[in-house]
Amino acid sequence: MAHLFSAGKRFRVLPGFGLTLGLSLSYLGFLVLVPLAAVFLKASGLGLSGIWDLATAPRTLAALKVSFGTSLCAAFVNTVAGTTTAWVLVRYPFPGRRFLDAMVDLPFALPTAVAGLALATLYAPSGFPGSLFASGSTLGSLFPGGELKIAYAWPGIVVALVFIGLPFVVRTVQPVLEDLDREQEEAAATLGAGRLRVFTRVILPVLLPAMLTGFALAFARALGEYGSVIFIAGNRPFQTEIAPLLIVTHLEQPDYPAATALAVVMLVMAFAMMLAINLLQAWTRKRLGHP
Amino acid sequence: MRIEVEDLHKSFSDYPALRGVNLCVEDGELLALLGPSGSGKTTLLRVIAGLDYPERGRILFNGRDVAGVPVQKRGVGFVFQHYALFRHMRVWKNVAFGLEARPLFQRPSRAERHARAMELLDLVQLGGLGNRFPGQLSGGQRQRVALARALAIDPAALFLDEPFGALDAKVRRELRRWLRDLHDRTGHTTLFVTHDQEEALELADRVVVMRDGQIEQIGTPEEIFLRPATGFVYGFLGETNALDVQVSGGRVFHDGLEAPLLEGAARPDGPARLFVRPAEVLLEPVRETGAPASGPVARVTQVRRRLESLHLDLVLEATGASLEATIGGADPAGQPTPGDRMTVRIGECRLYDPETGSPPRVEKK
Repeated sequence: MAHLFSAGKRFRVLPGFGLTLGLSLSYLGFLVLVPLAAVFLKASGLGLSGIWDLATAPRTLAALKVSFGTSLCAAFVNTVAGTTTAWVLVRYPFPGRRFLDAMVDLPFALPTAVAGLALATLYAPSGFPGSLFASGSTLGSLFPGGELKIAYAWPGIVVALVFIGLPFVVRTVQPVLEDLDREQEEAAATLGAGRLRVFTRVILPVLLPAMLTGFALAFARALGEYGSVIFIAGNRPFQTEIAPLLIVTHLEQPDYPAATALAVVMLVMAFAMMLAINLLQAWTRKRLGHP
Repeated sequence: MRIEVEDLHKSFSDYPALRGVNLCVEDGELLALLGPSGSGKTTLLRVIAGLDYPERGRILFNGRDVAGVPVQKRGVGFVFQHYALFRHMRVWKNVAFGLEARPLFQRPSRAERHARAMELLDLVQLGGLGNRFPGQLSGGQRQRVALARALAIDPAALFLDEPFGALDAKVRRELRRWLRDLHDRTGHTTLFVTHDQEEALELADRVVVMRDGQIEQIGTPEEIFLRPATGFVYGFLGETNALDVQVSGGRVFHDGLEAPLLEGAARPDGPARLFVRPAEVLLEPVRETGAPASGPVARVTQVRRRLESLHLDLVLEATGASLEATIGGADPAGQPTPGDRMTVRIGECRLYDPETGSPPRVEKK
């Protein structure tokens, strides 16, 4: 422990370990720790059994299922699509590349409600991509029931979450791809490795930790997303109601204990999943021999 | 494997990297591609290996045109300057990569691959390091792993691109000798690229000197060193002075200098370019007796200390041309100082046609 805080004793060009650590801790404390502690404090009034009862109410369970299910789904889609996007941006020079590169960040800047509204309109059976899957269309007939309902249904939530989560994967994978040593691929090729083997054995292992980080970020962002989802989800209890919306519903009733209980459950579950992803990432790094 | 290259052309955007290269590498030969940066030596190696495509020309492996053969199928081992090891794989896995990449029916079992990798690691004197990751090895060790990896596929030829370029001088000399030994034991046809003249001369059976995408001279180290075909080759193999001279009746004059620099030049009369090593610029102090000097006179402008010699910068008084000379510097008395006047005599030197004699861009290490 002592060595941790004696960092200032060594010569450093830029001093200020104490100051910056202090600032970071108070910053995190006021903005993250205190509000979260308040949630737990409020919930503690309910007692463990009280929280358990509220958390296992059928409507709550359904909302949690929707939230975690769609978020995981969207994070998977984003990991694949985001890695592909990063690949195109890094590997191939083409006209409009810088424009595309700038466009990746748009979901960060756009008010999520606007995105939700736009997506809901477009993915409704009357909108453009939505009509492709509507009842009577060729693609739609591939699905049971003759149509795939996107807006105001489960897939719609995934679409919205994919939209807001894409930049996370692109921006974490991109720098790693840029650093990738092209000679390693050439070396693999001279050793007789075909394209698939070069990708799976040489490139993918290097990208995997960054992809996992991107996955975790996109997943975390999706879990907390509210603005865009409520416009496209339809918000039918037990079917397309997400947990953040259920919290708001509880607040409006007003049923504060139920809202805090759900918040605590989400927090704990989210924390557990993030921890798991981080451990998985650390394991991958070690397994693949990253320093 | 015998490698023939005919009229090879390759350019990058508008920069011609290879301009009509013809070359024949004999089976089992150790050949050096030597030249300054930008001379096209690495491009030539990459094109032959199949990592780049030529615009024109033919490449024959044992008489067979390999134009349509992708790099994966050419069966050449390639060693990169910066090793290009797979950092996420253990050393033995790196070495076994080529065996693992074989088609399913020709792929040795995991145990066989491991055994072969260990055998090769022993060959490159890295036995016992198979379970490390490349990041845990020194530069010299990494390059030997890269070589073992290239040897694992039983290559028909071995290509090395500046293999020792990223290593320090001592390790480089050790690896050089070791590579020569290895070549003599395994007998692979080997091509290696270097900008280090000493490395090329010491290591290779034959040296190819390249300049601006063309071959300037091919020959054994002795031929290259003793009979450089052009002023460029001569200049690239060591420090040189280059002077524009006139040959007239077997006497060599520089820019209308009164006294001839050299007597008995076996060249037809006319303009030429004279190349002389600094050690062959022979100096004698001018005695201030009033008698006319016995040859051209130069003034010392700078004296610098080297390990076993003194390096002088001189200016020819009659024409203002600058010269460099080295003299033995063991004796502290009688050392020249700036401002001294010296009579210049040219010792062993070479005369080339003016157009082939432009001074080379010599790469500093």
